[in-house]
Amino acid sequence: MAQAGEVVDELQRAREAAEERRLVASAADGSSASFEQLYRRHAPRVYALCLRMTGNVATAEDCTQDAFVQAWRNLARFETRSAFGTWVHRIAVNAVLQQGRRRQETLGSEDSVEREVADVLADPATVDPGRSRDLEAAIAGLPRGARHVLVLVGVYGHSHEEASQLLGIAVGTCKAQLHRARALLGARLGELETGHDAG
Amino acid sequence: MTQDERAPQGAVARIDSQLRELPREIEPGRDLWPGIAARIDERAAPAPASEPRRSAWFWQAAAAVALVAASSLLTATLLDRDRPAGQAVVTAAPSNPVATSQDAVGMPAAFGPAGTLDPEYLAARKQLTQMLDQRIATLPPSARAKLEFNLGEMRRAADEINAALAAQPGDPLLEELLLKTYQDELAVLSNVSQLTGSLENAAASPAEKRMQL
Amino acid sequence: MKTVIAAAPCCQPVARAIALLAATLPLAAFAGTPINKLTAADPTGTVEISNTAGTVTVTGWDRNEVEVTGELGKGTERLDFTTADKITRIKVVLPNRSYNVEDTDLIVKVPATSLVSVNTVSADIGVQGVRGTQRLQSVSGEMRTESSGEDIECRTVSGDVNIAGSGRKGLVSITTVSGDATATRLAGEVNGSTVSGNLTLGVGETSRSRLRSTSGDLTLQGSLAADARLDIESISGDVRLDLVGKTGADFDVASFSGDIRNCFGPRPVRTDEYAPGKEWRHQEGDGSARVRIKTLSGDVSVCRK
Repeated sequence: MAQAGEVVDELQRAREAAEERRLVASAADGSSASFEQLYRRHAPRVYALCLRMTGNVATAEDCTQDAFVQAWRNLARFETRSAFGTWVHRIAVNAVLQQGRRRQETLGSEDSVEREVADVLADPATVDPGRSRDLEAAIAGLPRGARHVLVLVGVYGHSHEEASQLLGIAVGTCKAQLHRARALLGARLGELETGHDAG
Repeated sequence: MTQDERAPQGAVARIDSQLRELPREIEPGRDLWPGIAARIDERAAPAPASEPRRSAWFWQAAAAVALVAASSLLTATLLDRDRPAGQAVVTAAPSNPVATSQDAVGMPAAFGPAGTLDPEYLAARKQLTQMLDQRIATLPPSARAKLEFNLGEMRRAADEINAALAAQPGDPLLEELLLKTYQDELAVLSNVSQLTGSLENAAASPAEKRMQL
Repeated sequence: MKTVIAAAPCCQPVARAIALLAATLPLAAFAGTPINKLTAADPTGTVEISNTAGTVTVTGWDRNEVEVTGELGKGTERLDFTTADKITRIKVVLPNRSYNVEDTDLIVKVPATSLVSVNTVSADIGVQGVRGTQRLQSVSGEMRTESSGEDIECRTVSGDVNIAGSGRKGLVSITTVSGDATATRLAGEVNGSTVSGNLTLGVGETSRSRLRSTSGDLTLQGSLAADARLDIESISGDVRLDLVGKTGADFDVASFSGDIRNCFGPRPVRTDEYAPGKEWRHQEGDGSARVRIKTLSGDVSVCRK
């Protein structure tokens, strides 16, 4: 038997979903005000995804904008039975891969860029902000292929099948990249823990 | 970088749980909406038919905007590629039956046997090519002839791929190559625009330069 | 080049004197105008050069100066030589009706770490000893340069491009419509795009490479970095990949009607029993690099030395 709290949650979710469908329909009709609402709701997640995948603030901002512009242009093709957020998420991954042609992404392993990204991502509210910063910096310092897979699978919880499809790579490659990413992160964080001040 | 790719189990579990705890949403450091709004509203401004000669910088910027618009529209056509084979990638507009119709500049407007390209992409591309026609006319005749020949090569490539798609609708390799051909055409037009734009700045005499401003 | 002097009878003695002078002075004096300009320049500044026809030769040196010598073609309106805000501009200016203008040869020396930008129509471009970013554009002129690890961008319609690398990582972008491009010892990110030109690129080690062609042939020789990403597409041009050294890579090669010839790994397979189209997917070593090659009818060859 469902708890009262669960019922309330479900009603809330259903209301939000209906509201979102209304916004999508209105935006597809040409309302940029409705699209702005959609942007406000989904931008933080899109931006976080872009930032982690690219490791560069300026590139992530460009990717975020590109993703929403592409979403706007293709609203007519979006089928409302799936979630807008999932759809934009996929567009964002594509935007990252397109941006990957530019040079900024290949600088993802430079120390100064890692620090910049880590500062942005570090959440002062966590128990150990220093540790979270180190992890974000370590992720930003991963080689691009490993970083993409780690972000999609490790942070955003995609399956290997989903991640490999989003990235356009073979599932085997996806698994190998994740393996590699974990090993590199482990080594990097292990180095930090053995005592030097990362400051 | 470690030689041994295998991290010990406990460390892996720890990393995984730390990863899952990372925030999945971050507010951008600045409001990105104005940049987006500017780009989605850009087509609201009508393209002027004839107007006083603008500076080379203006044409370059306008061409770049049209290029980005056309390019992202092109890429967007393949975003929902996981449709079952045989289904058109691009929804056919109801008023447009099966077609390999050619637009004014010659590239086929089809994307496969049952689909036509996004009309917005075609319009943006038309705007770009019209802006560039003036530029291309300033090239020396031999260079112009080579350019036109090569644009023709790309058109023939698109025709060949469309014909193959008629027999193999939805073939991912063919679709990817077709998309590449359309993108490459835009890139060639854009590159030539930049080349000739730089030359305009170089060759202008002072009197001409005053007019440009 | 002949100089014809006609004079009214009253001026014949003068004309005779001039004719004698013409015979004794070097021909150059009656051709173009010698150029000799010099200015101080910031070692990290920019030098922009434009010329229409003739040649542009740029050499990097260790003086904080920009020097221009050479010869301004007869009929040229003037040479602009200006400097402001760390940018030195050298521009050959032609008159509005430029059908009777001779070639200009510019010999430019710049601080070796300058950013060098050259634009020509048919003038050939030669650059050496420049360690800053280079942007070379020409409609039909040939380009020759060296790469030292900074960015190089070469753009042309029908000119040929030739780049001698140094093995240092940088970003090299080559864009041609019908011009051919040859490069050796590049490293880092290498992008090439052509319609019908042939691109033959030798890389020391590439981390990222994107090659595009419609009918021109694409050849890439060299080794892949551990995490390299190679993306090669052609319609009817042939693609040839000659790998050197230990390669851990995931190969994804497909051609609609071209042949795939691989020197290692399994044989290519038909994509579909009812359709033409072959593909070759193979993981070599740890598969950390990614190689994608797609063609319509161009043949593909992937081999390893």
